[in-house]
Amino acid sequence: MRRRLGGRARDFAKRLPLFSLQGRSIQSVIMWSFSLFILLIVAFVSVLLYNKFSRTAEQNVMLSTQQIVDQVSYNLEDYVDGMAQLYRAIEQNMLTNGQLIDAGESKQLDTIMSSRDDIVSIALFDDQGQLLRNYPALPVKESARVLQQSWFHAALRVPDHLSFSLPHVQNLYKGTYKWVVSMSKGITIMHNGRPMYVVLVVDINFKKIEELSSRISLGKRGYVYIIDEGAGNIVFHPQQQLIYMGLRQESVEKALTSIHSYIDEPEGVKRLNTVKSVDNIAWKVVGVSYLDEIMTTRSDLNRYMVQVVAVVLVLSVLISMLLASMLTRPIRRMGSTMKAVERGDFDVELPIKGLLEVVQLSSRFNLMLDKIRQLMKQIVIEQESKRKYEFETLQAQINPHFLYNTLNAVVRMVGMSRNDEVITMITSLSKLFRISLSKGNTSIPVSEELEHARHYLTIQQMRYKNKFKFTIEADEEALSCFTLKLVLQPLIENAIVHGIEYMVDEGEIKIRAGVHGDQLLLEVADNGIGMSQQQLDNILSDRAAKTVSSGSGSGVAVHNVNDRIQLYYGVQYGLAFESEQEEGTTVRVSIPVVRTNGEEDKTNGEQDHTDLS
Amino acid sequence: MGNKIIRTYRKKGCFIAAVGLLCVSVLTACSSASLSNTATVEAAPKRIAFVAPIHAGQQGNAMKLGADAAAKEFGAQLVYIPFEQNEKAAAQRDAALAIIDSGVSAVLIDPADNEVLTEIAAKASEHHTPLFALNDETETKGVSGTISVDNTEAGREAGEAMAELLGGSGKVVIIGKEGNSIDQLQREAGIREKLKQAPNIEVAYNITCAPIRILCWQATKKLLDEAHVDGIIPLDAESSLGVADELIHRGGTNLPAIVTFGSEQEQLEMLQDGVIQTLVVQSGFSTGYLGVKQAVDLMSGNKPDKAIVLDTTVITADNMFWMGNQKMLFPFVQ
Repeated sequence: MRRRLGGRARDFAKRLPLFSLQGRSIQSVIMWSFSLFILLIVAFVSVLLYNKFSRTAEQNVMLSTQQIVDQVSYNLEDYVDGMAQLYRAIEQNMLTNGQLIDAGESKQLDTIMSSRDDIVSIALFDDQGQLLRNYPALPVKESARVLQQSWFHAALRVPDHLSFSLPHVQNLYKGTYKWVVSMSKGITIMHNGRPMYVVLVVDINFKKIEELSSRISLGKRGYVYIIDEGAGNIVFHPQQQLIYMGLRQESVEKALTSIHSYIDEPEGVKRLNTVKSVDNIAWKVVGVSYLDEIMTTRSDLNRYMVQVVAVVLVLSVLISMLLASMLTRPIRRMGSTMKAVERGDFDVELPIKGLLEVVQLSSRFNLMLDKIRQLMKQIVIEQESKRKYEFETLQAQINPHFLYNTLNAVVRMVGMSRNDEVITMITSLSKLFRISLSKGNTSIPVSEELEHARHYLTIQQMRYKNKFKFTIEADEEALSCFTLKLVLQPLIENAIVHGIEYMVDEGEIKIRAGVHGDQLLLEVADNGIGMSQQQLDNILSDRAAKTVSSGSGSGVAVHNVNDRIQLYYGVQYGLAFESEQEEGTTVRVSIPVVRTNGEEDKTNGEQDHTDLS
Repeated sequence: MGNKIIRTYRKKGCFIAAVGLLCVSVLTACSSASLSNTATVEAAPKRIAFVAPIHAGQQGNAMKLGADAAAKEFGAQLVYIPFEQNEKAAAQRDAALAIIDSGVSAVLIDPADNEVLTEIAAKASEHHTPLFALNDETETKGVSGTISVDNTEAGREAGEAMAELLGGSGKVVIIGKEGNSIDQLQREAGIREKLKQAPNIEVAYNITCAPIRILCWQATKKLLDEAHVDGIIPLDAESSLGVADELIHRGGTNLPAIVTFGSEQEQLEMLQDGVIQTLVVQSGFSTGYLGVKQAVDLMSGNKPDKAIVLDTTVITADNMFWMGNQKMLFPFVQ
């Protein structure tokens, strides 16, 4: 599984060399991906917000510029309207019913003049430019050239129409050079019974209009200027002189044709021009605002956004570092615990807390560790019992009791001069020992085991004075198989001691060896007194090992045979008892078919033990 | 175990609190930093000192108007230092030195004379303050730039106007102030250059009068008493008024024509009355405006022109109320 995943990751890494995750710590992967993710989101959001904000800011600037320019134009329009009304009032006062009124009677003019400080002068000229009457009454200077002045021309050109001149320096009286806008109108009146064409001019101070316009500032540097819609002359400009000097240009032609706003670019600076007409005087107010000021707002915004993104980045790196370390802490803890286990400390335990996966993993790990501990304990127990059985086997090999009995029998036979029997017995005894030693091997061929049984039976037969007879049968196939040694001897001893010894008749012990499928079966059958069901049940149980041992050693020996076989070949093998009282007992030993002595490697180790004993 | 759990929770709480604190502090630092940034930018506009000329007159006011307009346009603060009519060059020098010491971003000055300019230029370079000279094109060490009219060209215009007025023949006298300044020498050179082209015009004398109107009046009286003169070209406004005084005083016809420089209101009156025939006028507004513009350019890192030369305009009684001219002659809306 791991290899497959690794392989996939490698393929992935080959395709995307940047994103190779192999060999990187989870912590750094979490940290960087989290930071990157946050950064991307923040960048995306800030780009969106930036666009939105800057667009709104621009729109606001445009809107407010438009509003300011509109306001200027309305104010101007109102002012001009007021002035036009004033003109009508003055006209009515001076020329009541088309008659020229005597100067002395125009007291109302005094009132008008004193209430309005922006009226500079009132003058009435005939069509030859001769002064008829004026207020205040000052002499018109010789160099005035009234006929050539623009307001006079305008009055003559369109009779009975009030016209406003462009602002100019008043050129009528000596010593005063006031900037005025002249309101003039050509009127036909009756004078001395004859019709007469006169021009009434009211000069209003330009200061008021100038103030209306010059006080306006659009942004830090923006301003308002006014042009005349007829010819595009500049009526007011905060830097009018520079324009006349040619040091500054305004896109007047564009302003004349535009209705709302346009953008021009004199001297490489982009400017927003907002236009509004003042209808009653045919002027146009143009508001100029510098786009780079709007851009300044934009760059301020930009800088702020960058700061925010930087801060968020730092924070996200910090938070993701914390998060990553928090998430990987259990993994690191697990790693250190595993290291402890690796060193051989099995008594550690992972705390069961934290995230769900961590809890699951920790409890699995703890369970695993538990299992390992159990297995180890089991191995220790098994090793211990193995040693014990080996020791017991060794003891069985040289059973002093058996030796003593046998030698006693030999002595007895020598005494009776049964030399042949003595020879048989001693020969059997020596063969018995040779096989039971068998170079220290734990397993021996079945033929040798049978040989061993035969010698043992021979010796016992002599000891028990032919109280039983025995037969040994073996399949050809079975002879070459290997078996644990000294398996049959305890069984035979058991059969003699418990089955045959108390029999009245001659007993019979049958030993058989055969291969059945993949099992090798060794069988020891006697026709002795047999066992009760309870004995049969107890014989292989753990309890039997203790109770029987108090009676006779052979019970323990049988039990040990079973244990040895199971320890050596597995629990599915072992002894099986079949007994019928007064009929006899059959013990079947089942072990796997083993064709070779699989213990060559072990031999040396076993040898050591044997030598030690 | 329970203890341990509590400890971990406490640890986690501390963690979160620390992170939160960090967030808040960084964010506030960020926002306050940006606020204070903009605040400082707005709080400290460039201070530009404008040391007015002594005997400023109309011209000086026009220059201030121009300087004001430029200061507003470029977001600078103008410190204007005017002088009383009777104050002398020393007063200008002291005021200029004081304002440099007080620490301004740039200084504009219309120097009374070369000594004042030299002294102030030395002080300015000592303080690394950019200095711009108005109406003075002499190359002085420590002056970052000059804005002046082309006086030679102005002289040529005056000469040409005089030649036209005299119809190509006659006797012309040039009158200047005592202590020939470079401006005057250049004007004179321009005048002579043009008048030389009219072979019948004789440039007779070159009278200098002290910088007081009445002395010029006396000098003119003496001149006119001694010989017939067809045209007089005073080289500056002050002497032109003295000359005009004598002509008004004399009255009658067959008076010499006057072509002169300047745009003082009295001169304009005389122009209308026919005492003065032609004025060669410079735009004080442009001078002031460009002076501040140059200073702002230099401070914002651009390299301004070393010397800006402005055109002059020839004004007669006929064209003085023309659109373009009346704004230059009467810059103030009153």
